Amino acid sequence: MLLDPKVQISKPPDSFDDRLAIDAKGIAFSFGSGDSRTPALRGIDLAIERGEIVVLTGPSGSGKTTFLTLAGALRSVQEGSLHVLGRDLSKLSGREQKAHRKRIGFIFQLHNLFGSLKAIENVRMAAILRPDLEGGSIDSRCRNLLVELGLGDRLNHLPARLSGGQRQRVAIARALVNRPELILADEPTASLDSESGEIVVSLFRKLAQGPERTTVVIVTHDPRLLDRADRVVRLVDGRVESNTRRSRNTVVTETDN
Amino acid sequence: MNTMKYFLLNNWIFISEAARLAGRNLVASFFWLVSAVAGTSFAVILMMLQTGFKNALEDSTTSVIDRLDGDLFIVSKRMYILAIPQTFPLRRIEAAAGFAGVKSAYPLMIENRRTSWRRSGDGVSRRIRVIAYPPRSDLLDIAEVKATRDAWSAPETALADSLSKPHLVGRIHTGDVSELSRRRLKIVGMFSLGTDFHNDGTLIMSDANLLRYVPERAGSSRGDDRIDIGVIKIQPGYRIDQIESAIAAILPGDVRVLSKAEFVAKEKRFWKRVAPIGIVFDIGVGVGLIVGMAICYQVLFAEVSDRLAEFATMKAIGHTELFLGLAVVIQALLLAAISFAVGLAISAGLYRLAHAATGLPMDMRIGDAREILALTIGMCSIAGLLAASRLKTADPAALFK
Ligand SMILES: Nc1ncnc2c1ncn2[C@@H]1O[C@H](COP(=O)(O)OP(=O)(O)OP(=O)(O)O)[C@@H](O)[C@H]1O
Ligand SMILES: [Mg+2]
Repeated sequence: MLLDPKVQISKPPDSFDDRLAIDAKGIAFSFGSGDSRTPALRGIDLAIERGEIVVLTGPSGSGKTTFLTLAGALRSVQEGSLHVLGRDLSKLSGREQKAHRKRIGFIFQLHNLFGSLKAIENVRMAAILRPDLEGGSIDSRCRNLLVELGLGDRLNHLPARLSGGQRQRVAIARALVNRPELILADEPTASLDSESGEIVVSLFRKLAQGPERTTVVIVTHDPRLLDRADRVVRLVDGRVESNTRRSRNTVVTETDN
Repeated sequence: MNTMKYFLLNNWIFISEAARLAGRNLVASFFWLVSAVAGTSFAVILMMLQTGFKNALEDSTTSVIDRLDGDLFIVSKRMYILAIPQTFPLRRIEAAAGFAGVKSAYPLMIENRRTSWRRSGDGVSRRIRVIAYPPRSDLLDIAEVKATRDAWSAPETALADSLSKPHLVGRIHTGDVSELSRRRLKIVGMFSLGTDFHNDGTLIMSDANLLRYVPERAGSSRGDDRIDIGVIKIQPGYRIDQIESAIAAILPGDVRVLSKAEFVAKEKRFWKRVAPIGIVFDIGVGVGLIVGMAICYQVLFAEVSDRLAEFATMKAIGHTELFLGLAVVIQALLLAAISFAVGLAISAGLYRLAHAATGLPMDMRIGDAREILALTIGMCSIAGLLAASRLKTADPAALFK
């Protein structure tokens, strides 16, 4: 297929604990080389189960975003082993990386909607990547999701005529429309008021607890999200500083530097 | 079979979605659209004008021959183009007139070196072409000329070409009285023929009249009068080529006989081979093409750069560079289509202006328009492909901050 990277949905060949969405072992990553080499991750061990909502926090520059780009196959692993959704990312070709990304929903801090496309058309751009999905036609999938996110009366608005929070919700709809198995979000609720933030979090929760057991990893400092997470992982200086299961309020692992 | 259907269906979604994105991006910014279309149609106009002038050059060289009402033409052997007249004695065509099947043989004179028209406004004299022949022969197939035959049969009268270049030979009107080669001449009517790259204006008068203004052409006897073309009409039922070779056989070596097609071909051949001015215009078209490609690339590159984060987002969610590149190329093609339409309309207006100002035959030809459309499409798609290569720099990892 020329215009469409094939989605590999069949069972992965790797021997792997299928209950885990992300299994990171000894992940290290540096930007640049030689004198300008900056280590961003210095050995991350992290296992995230399917259906978990994990909040990733930590001070600025601690490597949260870098970890997301690795898990999303937007960057290639340098050191350590990283399995995501049952696939060994270090073994993926460029084309396979692209196909792998179709199983992931990305929510960026900047929404990056096409200013020329209406809200529903922006969502549609993502939806056409999975025309085989159940749940109605491409357009009705887009419409239903936007309605669910409280944008039923804004379907045909251009981004310029939406508020910042509304734009962000369109971007979230775009990330969720293909029912990704994993959602990677960087500060998704920063521009949302508490009401729409709540809508988004409830949607995450619904997806995580639904039959698809969607896994959600959110980078955030938003205290509202901290309370709603199953687990809070705190990174400091490229290492996991704490890994706390919130629901039972138990510490899973703790490393001190 | 099923996979084939799935393949087509799937790609159709992508192609139509790329087209939708291209169309929306095209009109998203009014300012961008206006400047993109202005730049690209400028190149279209450039190519159109070059082609128009090239055609004008070619057409104008044969515009007199095209209108000559004759089947065979006797010309001097030394004549290589009509614009530089070479004369021969009138006697030669009298020999041809006697042939079986020849209906008529008339002399035609074209004088453009010894005739100058005094502009009525400022009195400055300018060289002007004079075409002369017996009025009753109707040698030039121009309706106004035939209709006013009696008027311009009188001595010291002529018709003037309304398409003569006004800035050179002045504005000439019916009723004007001025001087041709220092001798009184009255304009008794107008016609439209047009100029060429050699002649800035044209008068038509009787052969007898021309001999008054250019007495050097008159010989010691009528048979020695110097003429430029002998125009022969053949009676119906006779074969032109047979009579042509029969006449050729008896004519002396200083003249030759040509059919109309041969006459036209000879003229065109000169401009193609001996003085290939057309190449200058072909180069002009090439320059227009390069200018257009540069402009088109600039605007599309700016467009892709402005939307680089959006394109990178599309890559992050799994779209291919090919899909995004397709959107850019379709946008380039839409730009080509609009710019071509705008350029065509403006060129049509400019052709009219140029025709009015210079008298050159400026006609839009379907074949040329099609060729320039193809060049425009080619130019924009190459620019689109080059601009699309910028998509490679769209890094989805850079979207996460
Ligand atoms: N593209 C890059 N090139 C070079 N260094 C980078 C790049 N991106 C990040 N870094 C460096 O890597 C380290 C980790 O950055 P990262 O963006 O992962 O931090 P973060 O935890 O997301 O911070 P923030 O909360 O400010 O977003 C930082 O020291 C940063 O300077
Ligand atoms: Mg960050």
